[in-house]
Amino acid sequence: MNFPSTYWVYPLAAVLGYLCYRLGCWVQKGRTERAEYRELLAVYREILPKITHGRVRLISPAEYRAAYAGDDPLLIIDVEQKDDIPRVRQTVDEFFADFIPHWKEVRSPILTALSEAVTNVVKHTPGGRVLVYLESTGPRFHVEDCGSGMDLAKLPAMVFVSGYSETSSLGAGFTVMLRYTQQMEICTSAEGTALVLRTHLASPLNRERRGKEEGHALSCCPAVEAGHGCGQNYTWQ
Amino acid sequence: MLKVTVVKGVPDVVIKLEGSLDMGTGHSLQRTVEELDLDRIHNLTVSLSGLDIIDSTGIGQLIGYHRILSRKNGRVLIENDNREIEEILGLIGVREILGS
Repeated sequence: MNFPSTYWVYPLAAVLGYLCYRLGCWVQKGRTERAEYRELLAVYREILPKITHGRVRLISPAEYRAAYAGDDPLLIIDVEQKDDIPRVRQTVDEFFADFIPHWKEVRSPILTALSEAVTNVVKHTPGGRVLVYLESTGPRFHVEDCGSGMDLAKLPAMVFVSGYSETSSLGAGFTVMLRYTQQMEICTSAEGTALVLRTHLASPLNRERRGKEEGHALSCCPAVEAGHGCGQNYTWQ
Repeated sequence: MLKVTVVKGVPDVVIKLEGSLDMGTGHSLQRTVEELDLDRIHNLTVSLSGLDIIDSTGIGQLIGYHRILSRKNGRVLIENDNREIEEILGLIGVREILGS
């Protein structure tokens, strides 16, 4: 029996079929992963404010732009390398020393929280910038980076595990930021991350400290003030 | 900026820090420790009272030295009477890790 001259088509079709099958699997896997990511995001958006009493919020890039578009920052400081960490702190320190009369009393926790956020940018991303605002209650910092986004799966560990773990530093910086700020908003996507750190000049921390100094510890948990209408329309580069 | 002063040399080294200890300034401390030669250090006492700011990366650097020294029965000891520095040490639980 003579095979047709196009006999070679059959194995080629088999190979092509197999490749299409693999491609289909890959696309399906991508879809599943994206769906899982969206689900995870939805769960975190709901539970994070609840378990942190409103102190940590996960917001979308659209929400970030909507909330903070329109307002001009007082300072914009670029962040790229290690030396920028003390430089950012020093710039902010000198700036607010002129603005806020009792800055010296409250500066340390605020600058430490900022330091942690800027360190994350230097450690984990190609670079970013810090936008500085001043609200009626205290300074607000936007620490934006052009990295590939936070690993959401690690977020619960960062929120729940306080302090330094024996095996990694994961969470230590987050613990500090959480303690030393009034509210944190996290906006993360594949194009980058923006952390909004809202600090308070008369924070529970400072009142607690004064209470301890006066011999009685205060237990206070004031409602977090929701600030809106600041920031600018920022597109990650 | 970080000023590092060696108060006492090897083997039981005492170092005094002034300024800020973080990822951007930690290289000054690292250079001093390398010059002293970590292999020749038994205990490393670090005075943090003169620090203005320390963050989790700075604390991580001290914990790193402790892990190395503890392999040869040495340790890092922290001296501090600065309330703000003590607060962050407590927050991160560094004294429990160092056993001091």
